[in-house]
Amino acid sequence: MAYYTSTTRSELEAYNTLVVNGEGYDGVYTTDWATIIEHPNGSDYAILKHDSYTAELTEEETLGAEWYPETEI
Amino acid sequence: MANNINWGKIYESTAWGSGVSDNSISWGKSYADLAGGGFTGLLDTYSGAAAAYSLRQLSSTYEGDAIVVRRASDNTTQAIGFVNNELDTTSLESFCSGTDGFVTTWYDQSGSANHAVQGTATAQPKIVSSGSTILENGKAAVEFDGSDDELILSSSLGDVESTTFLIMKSFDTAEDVPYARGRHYTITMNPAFNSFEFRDFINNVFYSGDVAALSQFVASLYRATNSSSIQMAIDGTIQADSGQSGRVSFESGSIGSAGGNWWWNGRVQEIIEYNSNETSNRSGIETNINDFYTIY
Repeated sequence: MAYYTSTTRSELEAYNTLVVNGEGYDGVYTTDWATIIEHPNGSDYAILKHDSYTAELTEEETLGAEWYPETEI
Repeated sequence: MANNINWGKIYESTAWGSGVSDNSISWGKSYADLAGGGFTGLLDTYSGAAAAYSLRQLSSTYEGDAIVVRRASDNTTQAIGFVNNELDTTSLESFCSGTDGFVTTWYDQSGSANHAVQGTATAQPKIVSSGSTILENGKAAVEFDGSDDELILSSSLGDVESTTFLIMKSFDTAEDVPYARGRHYTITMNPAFNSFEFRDFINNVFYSGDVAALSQFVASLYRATNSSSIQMAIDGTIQADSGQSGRVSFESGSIGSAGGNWWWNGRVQEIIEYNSNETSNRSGIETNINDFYTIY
């Protein structure tokens, strides 16, 4: 799974909207393509890339473990 | 008074039952269902559930659907109900025709309308793969990907006494959470140690039951208010107390994750929760479950 990353959350929100509109989600049962992931540093964001939709964003093949800090359970 | 018949229904008699007020029968209902003929659901016998999610019909009085499914081919959605008290897989596979199908809503059959929903496409668990219903031991199952899939309950069931029954199977060898209510989970599958654990909010293990990885099983969990009494049974057998003490934390609710941090990689077929002590009914409820799923 590839991801798009950005330091500007709104760019990824726009990508989500691009996919939602392109895929024709009904807005009732399905409202979003994917959840925007926030890096623990608070300044980087990522969203799962849809195979059919490209954008002028930085593409990463995977997100490193630093994106998913250990959580006390 | 209408006398409508929608062709394609299952007719088992020409006589009208007392439950048919307008002499009409709708899709997915058999005459036997409408007349109350012979079907007694788990919730008919053991009533009072706070929430109940299943791919079989749990109550003779429940008239809603089982799920809403989104097909991958064009992202349209359709509600899928029951036929002969089981998920209408014929309609499901017809709708999904050759493509994948994902659950957007798992309806609560308890009557509380506490439905489990997911509006984000990538986080919706799968129920149809390339046109075929995902089956576990011959029965339909909802499959969670262990990455981000979860169905979120409309409202928390609260930090109260509870008895919960789960039918599931894990694909993973790491810790997973099939069902939890908040950041601090209370139950976890740990297939690396072939165990299903019931923990408190500081990670003490109250109970650890033997569960082989990749095996379908039923877990029955009871927690009294403030955890003054806790009991866990796996496949009908009560597990030993670990001797730990502590308090179980309950917050929000979701199926497939613990507060969005730990993800279930496996299948879930049924979750029924009572906000009461049902330990005296545990054996009967487990028998009802096993009679249908044939787990042990």
